[in-house]
Amino acid sequence: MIELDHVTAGYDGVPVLRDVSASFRPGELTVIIGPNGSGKSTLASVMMGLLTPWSGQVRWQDRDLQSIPVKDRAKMTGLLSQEHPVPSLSALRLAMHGRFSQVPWPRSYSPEDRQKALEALEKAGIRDLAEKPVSGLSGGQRQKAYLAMLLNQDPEMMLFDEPSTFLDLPSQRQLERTMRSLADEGHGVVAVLHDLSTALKLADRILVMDQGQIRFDGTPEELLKTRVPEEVFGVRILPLMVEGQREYILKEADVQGA
Amino acid sequence: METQRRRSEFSLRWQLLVLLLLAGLSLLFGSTTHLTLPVFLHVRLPRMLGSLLAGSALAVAGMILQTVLANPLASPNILGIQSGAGLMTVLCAALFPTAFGLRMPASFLGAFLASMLVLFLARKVRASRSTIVLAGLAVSQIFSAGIDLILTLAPDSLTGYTDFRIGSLAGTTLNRLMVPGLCIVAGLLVALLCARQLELLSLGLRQAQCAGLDVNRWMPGFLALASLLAGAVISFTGMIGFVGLIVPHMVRRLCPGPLMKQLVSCLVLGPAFLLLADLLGRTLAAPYEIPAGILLTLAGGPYFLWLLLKGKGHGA
Repeated sequence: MIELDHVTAGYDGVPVLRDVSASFRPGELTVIIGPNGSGKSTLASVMMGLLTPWSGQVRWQDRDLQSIPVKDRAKMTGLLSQEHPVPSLSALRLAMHGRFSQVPWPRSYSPEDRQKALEALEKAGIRDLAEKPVSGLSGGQRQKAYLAMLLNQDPEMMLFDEPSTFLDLPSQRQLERTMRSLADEGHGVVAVLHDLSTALKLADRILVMDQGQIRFDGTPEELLKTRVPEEVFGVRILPLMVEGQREYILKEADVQGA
Repeated sequence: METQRRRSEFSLRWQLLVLLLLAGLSLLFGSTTHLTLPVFLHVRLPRMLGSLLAGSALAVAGMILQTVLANPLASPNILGIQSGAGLMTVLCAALFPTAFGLRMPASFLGAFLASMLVLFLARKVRASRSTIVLAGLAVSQIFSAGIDLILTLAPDSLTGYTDFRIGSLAGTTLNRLMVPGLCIVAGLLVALLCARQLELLSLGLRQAQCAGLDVNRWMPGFLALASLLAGAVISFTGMIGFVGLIVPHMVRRLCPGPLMKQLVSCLVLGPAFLLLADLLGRTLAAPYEIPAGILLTLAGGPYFLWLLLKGKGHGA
């Protein structure tokens, strides 16, 4: 459980988030969506404790985030970012580092840790690349290696910050299924996305960010009943049934000043 | 995978063999052809030990800096750590000419302050990797000017100034090695014990923090460790830091793998490189002696260029 209580935050004296309050629960898949510069990634950084709020409070499981040691934070919450440096270690070794916080200093990883990392790589769909150095992987494969690291970390809350940037279409769908099943298993999954129709199909709950504030917080069905998509994104959403599945078509709205 | 592991084991054995060979040669050959017991005990042995300590410490310090700052150009001599140590050593020599015992702490302090200054500047501007290196370069130049200023005002403050500036193992004695040696051995042990933390930092600060590493503590910690290692070396060799730039690159190229293995390779190849430079320096123009620092740069510079041009920008 992550709670933000009247959080204001930003960079270099310029506020990006203004008085934001929200909570994220286990077993729920929340998608955060909004135009460029609306504060989505800043919100993710604040939630993860990577950026300290100027005012307000972030709480994890009813504890002030600032009072939780970094090592314990990793057991509660994990992050998959969109971009990564290219380390020279193998994908397996990378996945093993997911359990870093659970292995006391200076003991090195045990065969059991190795086994768990292999299972995580299997789940992420790159078991066959386990021994390859991460620097030799493609952008999409690298993203899957980092996903394996997160799966191996196995925290209660998982945050995906625009995770599908480097992924091809099948891999994007695979990642969406993974996020869905993680939420069904009881993890709290929060995903920052920029594709509105994916968000509508995937999410249990949608947060729409606009100009550093939360414009909408509710289910996809509730979002469809509002004028928020038109006002924030300048589009109208048309739900359709295609071969028994619900799809969403986005049509440019004729609103002025959108 | 099994063959790969065997090959890398073989490679480590091969490296050790080269090191032992060079250490043996370094004990046997020198400017005099008559090897007497006093020469062995008071000249050759300290020199060989000095090379072992300096080479491994600088190589490991370079590896730590390159990993922590995620920059293949980071090394003690480029980031101002070396000239920071040099400045404090010269200052100490000018103010307290007879207090040799003070030079080691002064050198470490200089190295540490320089690395903290670079880190502070980098934080202040939320700097990109190239900015950190540029800031280090500027800091390095400022400290170098400081060294020159002191030596201009008090020319007699440091005997053997040229050797200090270039870096040389001539005149190493067991006594002078004692304190820096202890610091280096302790520092290397800590570095090996913290290899996993260092490897995690190579994933980037955000990722390391999210995986449970307190980046705000470990990053200055590693910089302090690299400063301790580099500062300890500079206190008895002078400014010989180039080893710290090229050996980590050599290691990454010759023996890729987990960081732990690379650190061990640094421990072996760093001294090997320095022993070779020192050995050639003593024998090539005997009875004259070319300081190891000159040969290191003359031979290491082109080798480094070759590595850069040959590779596909690894580690960048």
